Amino acid sequence: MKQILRIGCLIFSLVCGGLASAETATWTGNAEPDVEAYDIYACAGASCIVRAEPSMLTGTVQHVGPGVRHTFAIDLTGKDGSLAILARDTSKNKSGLSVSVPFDKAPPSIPATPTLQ
Amino acid sequence: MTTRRLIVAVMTVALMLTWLLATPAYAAIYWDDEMEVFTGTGHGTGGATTGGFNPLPTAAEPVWDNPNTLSPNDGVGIPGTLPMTATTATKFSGAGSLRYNYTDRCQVSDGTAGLTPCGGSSSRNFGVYAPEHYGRVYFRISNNFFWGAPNGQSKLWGVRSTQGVSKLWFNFGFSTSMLVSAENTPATGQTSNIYVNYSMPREQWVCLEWRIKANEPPGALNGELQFWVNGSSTPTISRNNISWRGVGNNSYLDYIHVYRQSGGPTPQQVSVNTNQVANLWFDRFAVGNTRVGCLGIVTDFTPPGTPAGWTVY
Repeated sequence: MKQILRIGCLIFSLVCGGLASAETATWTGNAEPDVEAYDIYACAGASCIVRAEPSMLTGTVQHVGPGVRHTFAIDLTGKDGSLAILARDTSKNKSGLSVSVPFDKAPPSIPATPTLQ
Repeated sequence: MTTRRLIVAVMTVALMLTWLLATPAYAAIYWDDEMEVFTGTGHGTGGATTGGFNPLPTAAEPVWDNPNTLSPNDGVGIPGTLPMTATTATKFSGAGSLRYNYTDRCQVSDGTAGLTPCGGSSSRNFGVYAPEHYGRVYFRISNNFFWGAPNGQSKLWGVRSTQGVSKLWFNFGFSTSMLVSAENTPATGQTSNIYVNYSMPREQWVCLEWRIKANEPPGALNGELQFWVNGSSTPTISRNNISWRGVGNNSYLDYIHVYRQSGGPTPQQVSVNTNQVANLWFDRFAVGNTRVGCLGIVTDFTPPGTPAGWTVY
């Protein structure tokens, strides 16, 4: 019985631990007829700057349709910063960046070696 | 061969020669570069760069130098930020474009000691040495780019000569206007500025075309310049009275010189970096002896709205 419980706990921790590290971003599809795709940026710091650097581009999702709930999964394990999104159209116009959503998946540093007094 | 046959043969050859010599050169695009292949060593102002700041591109060097080999020490303030980058993230066509990177240290100096201007350049030879050429480039400015505040100018790209002092720059002039700045015009050591009544939009690819014809003979006031925006049939500027070359200057323009200079994510140079980078992009440089034209003229400059319901969980 103990063995079964141990295996169950192991599977649970593996599955749930894995799921816990993946973030899901969602947004509503734009209404403009020429929207082509969405660029998602992962930026260092609490907010993405006016124009996110291309190097911060972390993913692109093709536009599915207006009003459609779009999703993007990203593993942020060990990182902290913020995520933002913009839309672009077939004429290469880009929207403004969305509000930045901060995340903190980086563990705190190891405390200093305790001393006994 | 009889005398009559000899006469006919000579006349035939003469006619053929006359036809060949009278036939005008075909209109040709020398090259239309997708800005995706960069080889060789870039040209920087210092650091680990080899090749010097301005080695002349030769016919044996028919493609752009590799901007990613430029020294990261060329006046930029963020470690690892190159003056230029061959990028695939933003492009007009194909797989990539050339991006200029500007940190705060690249802005026109406010006089603070220890701050250095920025450099970095790359070149491509026309492959043809002639008194007249047409050029075209797609150009884009990031939202956070400032230049030359309040009075500065910033070089964007140049058209230069491997054979002499002829040198012409397309710049940002005062405010947001384009400025054609001709070095060694009307005489060696002098510079003439020609203002182009066109202000650059931001975050849009614009198609810029030009035509330059040397004045003949050197010193004459008959050099020509046209500049077109987004494929318009009407030039934004058209001049036919420019003394591009002074007396004694017999050189023609024969290479494109992309050149990062002043500009940045803040209006003035600051001694402490904000860790922001402003950018310019260049794609599809092309040259020829006829107007190159613009591909797929963009008429929609309205950006989409910011996506709604942005949530991360």
